Amino acid sequence: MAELSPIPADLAPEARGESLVLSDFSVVPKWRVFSGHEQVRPGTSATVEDRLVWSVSPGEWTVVGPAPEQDPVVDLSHVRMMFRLTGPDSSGLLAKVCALDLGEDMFPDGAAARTLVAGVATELIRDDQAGERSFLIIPSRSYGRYLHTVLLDAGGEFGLG
Amino acid sequence: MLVILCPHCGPRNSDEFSFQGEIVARPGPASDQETWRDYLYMRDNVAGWQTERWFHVSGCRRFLNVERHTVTNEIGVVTPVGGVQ
Amino acid sequence: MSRLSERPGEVIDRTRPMDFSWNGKPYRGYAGDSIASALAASGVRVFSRSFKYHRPRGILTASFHDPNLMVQVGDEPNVRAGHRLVEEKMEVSAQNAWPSLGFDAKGVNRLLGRFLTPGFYYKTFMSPRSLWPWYQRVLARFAAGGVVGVDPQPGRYDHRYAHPDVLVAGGGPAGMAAAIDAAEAGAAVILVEEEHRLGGHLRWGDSDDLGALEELSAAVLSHPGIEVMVDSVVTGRYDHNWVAIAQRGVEGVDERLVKARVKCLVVATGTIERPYVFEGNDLPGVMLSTAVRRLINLHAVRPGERAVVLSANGPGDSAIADLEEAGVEVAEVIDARGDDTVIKASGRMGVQGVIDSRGRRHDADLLVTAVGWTTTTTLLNMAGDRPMYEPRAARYLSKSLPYDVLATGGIVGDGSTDQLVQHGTAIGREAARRASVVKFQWLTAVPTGVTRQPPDTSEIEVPPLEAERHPELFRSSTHGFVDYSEDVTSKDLFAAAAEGYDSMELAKRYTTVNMGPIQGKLEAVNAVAIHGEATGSSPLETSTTTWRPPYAPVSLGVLAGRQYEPVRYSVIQPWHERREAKPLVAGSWIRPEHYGDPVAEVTAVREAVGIIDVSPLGKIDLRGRDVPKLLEFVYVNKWSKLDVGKVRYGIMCNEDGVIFDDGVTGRLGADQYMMSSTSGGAAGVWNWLDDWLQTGFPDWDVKMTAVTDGYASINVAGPNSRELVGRLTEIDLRPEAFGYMEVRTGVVAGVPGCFLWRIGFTGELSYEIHVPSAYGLWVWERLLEKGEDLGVRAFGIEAQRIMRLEKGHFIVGQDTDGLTQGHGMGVDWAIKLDKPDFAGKPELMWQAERDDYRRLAAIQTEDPAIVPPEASQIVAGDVIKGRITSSRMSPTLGRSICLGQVDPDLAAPGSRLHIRLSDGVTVAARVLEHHAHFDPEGTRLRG
Repeated sequence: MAELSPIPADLAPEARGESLVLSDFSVVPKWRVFSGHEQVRPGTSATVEDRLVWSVSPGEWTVVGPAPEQDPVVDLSHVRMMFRLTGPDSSGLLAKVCALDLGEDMFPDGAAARTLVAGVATELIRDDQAGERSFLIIPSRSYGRYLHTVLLDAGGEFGLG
Repeated sequence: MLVILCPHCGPRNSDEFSFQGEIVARPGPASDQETWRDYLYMRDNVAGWQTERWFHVSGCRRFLNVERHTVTNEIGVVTPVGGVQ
Repeated sequence: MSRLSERPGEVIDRTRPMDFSWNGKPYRGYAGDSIASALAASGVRVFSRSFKYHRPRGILTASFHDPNLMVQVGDEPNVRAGHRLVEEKMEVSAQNAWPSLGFDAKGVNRLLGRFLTPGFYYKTFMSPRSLWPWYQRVLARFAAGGVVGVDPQPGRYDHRYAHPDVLVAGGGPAGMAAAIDAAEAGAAVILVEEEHRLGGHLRWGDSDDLGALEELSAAVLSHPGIEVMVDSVVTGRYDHNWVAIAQRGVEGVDERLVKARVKCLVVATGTIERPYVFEGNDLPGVMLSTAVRRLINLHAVRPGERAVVLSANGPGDSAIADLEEAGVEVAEVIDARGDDTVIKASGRMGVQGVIDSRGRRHDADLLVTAVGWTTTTTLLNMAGDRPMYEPRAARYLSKSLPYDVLATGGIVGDGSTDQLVQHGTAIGREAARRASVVKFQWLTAVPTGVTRQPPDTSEIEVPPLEAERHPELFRSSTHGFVDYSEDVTSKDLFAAAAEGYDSMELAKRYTTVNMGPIQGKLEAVNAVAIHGEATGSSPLETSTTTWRPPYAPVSLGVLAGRQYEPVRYSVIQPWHERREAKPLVAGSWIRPEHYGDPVAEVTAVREAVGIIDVSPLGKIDLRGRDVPKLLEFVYVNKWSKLDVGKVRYGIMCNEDGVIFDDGVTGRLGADQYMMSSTSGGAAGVWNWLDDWLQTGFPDWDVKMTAVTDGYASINVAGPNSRELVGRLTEIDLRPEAFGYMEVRTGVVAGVPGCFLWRIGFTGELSYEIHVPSAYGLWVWERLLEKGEDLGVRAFGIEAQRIMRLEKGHFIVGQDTDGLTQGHGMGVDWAIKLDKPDFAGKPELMWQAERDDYRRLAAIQTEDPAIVPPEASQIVAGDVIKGRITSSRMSPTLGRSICLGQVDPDLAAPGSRLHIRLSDGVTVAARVLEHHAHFDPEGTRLRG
């Protein structure tokens, strides 16, 4: 998905020699649907045509990309923010603020969860980019400023911010 | 901090859940006071295995039936409630 | 004491001297020295004064658990000098000594010793009570402990989660072996060692021990599957192997709390050498065998000149060789395996002579004791184990462990290094296997879990590790100190027993034995044994103290960590900050209380138009056929006939009939509703609906999405609000087109997807505009810009609260409390007991039948200038008849106004009330006819 690619090529982690990059994708359209993606089981994500789809709860899916043509659809674009944390140290940073085991076997690429990140119930997707470890963090909007500050603070020891 | 094997999310820390206590069936709205107040306030408080309700409020937001030993905190089978699976 | 020539196992770096101060005088040590070893190398013998008697105290264990080595470092009190490494320019001083260590004025307590029996303070300073403040001042000066700096500490602390397969607590030979073989079996391992280096007792052993140490530690440190944490301590094991580690030595932070969910915990915490109780056993120069071996072999310090050794075991015998090699003259070896023992150590500021059980006196400045070992079962106890005392080995041994906890090393039994390593190896492999069983179960439960082979179910055979026979040696024929931290002697324990404290748990609390900073690690077994001796029972029949976390003291800083406290902001927050709004903490929200002048804000709304950011209002998008059924059930009023375009006010009650939220719900489309809740109640309402939909009515077709943060909510209120909103939208706002309690959707200030409803918390004509939140700030600023000529002004929560009180609108949680049921709040018309069922119906029915409930009433004091504080009581004589729930000075009416809950007999309009103020003065007031103090007919609202 082009619009979700982590960062422009010249700002890729390798290019900047950094182990961690935090980017803001809050502007992408996000939708809640209640059917149509039964193959995407709770706890997983999948790319379906030009959309990223995930589920963290039975009977509910979040869709990122063009508006789905079905009814009902609830627009989540404004409800949620979306950050992307990319780089080999991304799970190290998250281990400071999230109790979930994000190891390769418990939370592989494609895994999706709703869990506590720095005390906020947040959706978390492992969505690697070109082989680089990457997480999408999707908090409710009013927590966005707090969570962004926390990620920068916790990322300090990895050179973030 | 307990580990609860959520049927939708996998192993999660108990601080993601809200403990709802013993499962009590709701009597009809025409119940007499004693029945209704039993439903509101009276609990068995067993020392041993019981099935209780937990709400995975910071996870899948599903209500779950959890078998737990109230003395050792051992967790048994965890199942979703209700119809939606 | 003095520094020896180089020792093969020494941990000091002689090329890096460290200059520091002790009680203001300069001292020099080496990198790798503990504070205690550096001072001992320079001849310091007295390190502290004891808690109660102010007796001089010196090195006892030379480890973290040395009760006599608590010092002050800078502004940090209670530093363990046997553990903390010396640093350049460190300022170290003694605690609990005044005016100096050498001459302690409070040592006068020693002379009073025979009066300071258990319970002395309780008994002596009880009466007369009037003298207690004076007692307190004097006693405080005699209390132990260092000085806490009053300024905030500059320390940096951190938290981290970890998910090791295997966590090994203890880096001795067995622990290292367990870590290596668990990692070899594929487990992710964390190895935690309390001391600064791995190795346990091998570090002060002979050349074979040092060789084994080098091999094991090289294997541990080079293994990619093992994360090693030294100078770190496992402080507790909690349910389901939730393990807390206080980790030090992390770059950039002073300490880090690691919260580990461990699949299999290996406890290899070894043993602690036990002191011996006899007269003079606390004199500087009485040391444990491990202490002298640490001093000699790790720090190259000669612990004395002339020594007497009391030994009951092999390691004690090894200490004799170490002493001789260090040039200490061993004057006498007393073999405690026979009938010989020590009766007394004598001297003033330190040991000068030792008297043995044959009555011989030996000149000596050092008395070394090796009388037994205490297993550190703390973590096992926390895992549910109840270790039993084994008299044959004179120590407690594990009885039963849960599946996910294993033990190895000295805590299990004795053996050669090879035997310990073999045991550790097998335990490590078994730990990895058990971890894989747990992990398999967890992976199977994770939707995306990587599939794995089922784990091996056959247990690995573990070679036996027997606890060797050891004589039971706790106390000689004389009395001495049992608890050094608390200055409790064996005589005190006998006295307590004589006074009837025949239970160890009671004797502990009475004498305070085990209650000092060492928390029983050194003294618990002696205390139990001597209490048994005094009461004629045996340690087997009395129980040990329960071990609770933390294993060792931890700083408050590391528990606090970084403060990540969730905070929520509206999208309009940047504007509020630019205008220097006074922040109001409302739950996790930060909201503008006012912008400097709440009264002017009220006036603007009443006379022109104001806008308020109400984004935190809960908003839930409801879709589906059965939404009306849900609304019928969770609200007390009727919802079946709500037309598209209409909104309705509703109250929610719990099953006990107590009001827990209110708000309006609007029907935006045929199958689409928008429910609003109070800001504080938003999460509770969301959970409440989920509860009923999942556990009560799973067949109903209702799709629910919480969209609170999806809309910035702006209430535009005041006589000019229609004109202002009209300037920004094409929506027909004429009263006949868009009436009170109606909702419209459309474009506002160019932003599509907005919805507006006409409601009026402030009592004014008002439109609540809900804007897709990314555009919230834009619309807010357009309203201010377009309304300039209309007198628009932003108002905060305070102005809103004043206006709703003028209008008599109650706030759930302010004007109601945890016992306020539905009737009596002036909304009885909304409670439809003729509905077949709804949440809380039976209780509301019975409440109506009782008719005894308090009523909400608008109240005005007769003196308009008096504003009774909220929570003031309404009284009739001495009987409480109600209370004021809200009160303000009304800028609109120029007088004090209140809402309150009053008993039914005083609730009728015109009733005269008496309100008792906090200063005890009672003021008169009366009940109004309506809840509204202002515009009771609602002409402004409905205009």
